[in-house]
Amino acid sequence: MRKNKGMDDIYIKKTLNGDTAAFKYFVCAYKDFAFSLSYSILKNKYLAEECTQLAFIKAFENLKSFRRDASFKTWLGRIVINLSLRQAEKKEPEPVEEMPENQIAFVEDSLEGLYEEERKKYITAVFEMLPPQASLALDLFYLKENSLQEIAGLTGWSMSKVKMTLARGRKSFYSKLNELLKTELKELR
Amino acid sequence: MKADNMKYILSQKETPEPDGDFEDRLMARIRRRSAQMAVEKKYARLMYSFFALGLAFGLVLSLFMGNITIDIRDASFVVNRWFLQLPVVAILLFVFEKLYQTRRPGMRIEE
Repeated sequence: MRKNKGMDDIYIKKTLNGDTAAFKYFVCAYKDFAFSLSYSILKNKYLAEECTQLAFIKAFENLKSFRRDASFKTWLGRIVINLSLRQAEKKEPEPVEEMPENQIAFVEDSLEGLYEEERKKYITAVFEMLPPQASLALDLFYLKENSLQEIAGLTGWSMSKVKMTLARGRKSFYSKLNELLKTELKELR
Repeated sequence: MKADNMKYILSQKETPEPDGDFEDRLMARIRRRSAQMAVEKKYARLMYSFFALGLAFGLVLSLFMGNITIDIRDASFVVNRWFLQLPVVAILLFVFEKLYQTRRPGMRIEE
């Protein structure tokens, strides 16, 4: 992490001194991180690519005002999240039901009974049905292994909002998964 | 345990990757933006200089301006010269806000 910060500082200086090509370092180092953040919100490859590109351009334009109290990665992440959430707001969110805690184990067991390919397909489909904030929170916490505080820093949400969004996101995920599995089962019969 | 289950389940999710030419397309856009920013910087200097010049000229002119008298039939109204400056101040503030916005390049991200 420190090594990254040192390299980031070197390339920030280079870019600010007029070496535009030096910015490629940031594109190479953080494009996957930025894209996956945007995709977890937008769930559309082309929109996520566009938002990621706009976030990098915005970072390039505002590099002079980057205060370095956080890492470049966190700063870029914040830009990506803001742009993607703004883009996601343009779509009407679907209401998602939450699942009671005691039924979650049942859904997990049903999922285990599926073939790997099918399981992947359902998990991906359900994740894409989640509201943008819920899918972002789940991605940051479970897949990118950020702490609650780090998520609050990245998103600008309060700690209680992070906790609530995570809990709701988890229950919504299982609820949608349950619905999908039931529907598929009916179709098979 | 719950967190582990959720992590295990979500790790099976398929996430697409950006296209192979993503970096090249992005760097081309950044190079274009960089050239555009250099031109904007040059014109910004000219813009500030002319703004300052106009401001100074206007201030000097307003010092020499007298009150305005309006005669309507037998009545005569005197409009104080400082009162006439109010719209000018409003316009200046409006223009100043626009000038300030040009200092924030992030405002013009849409291409």
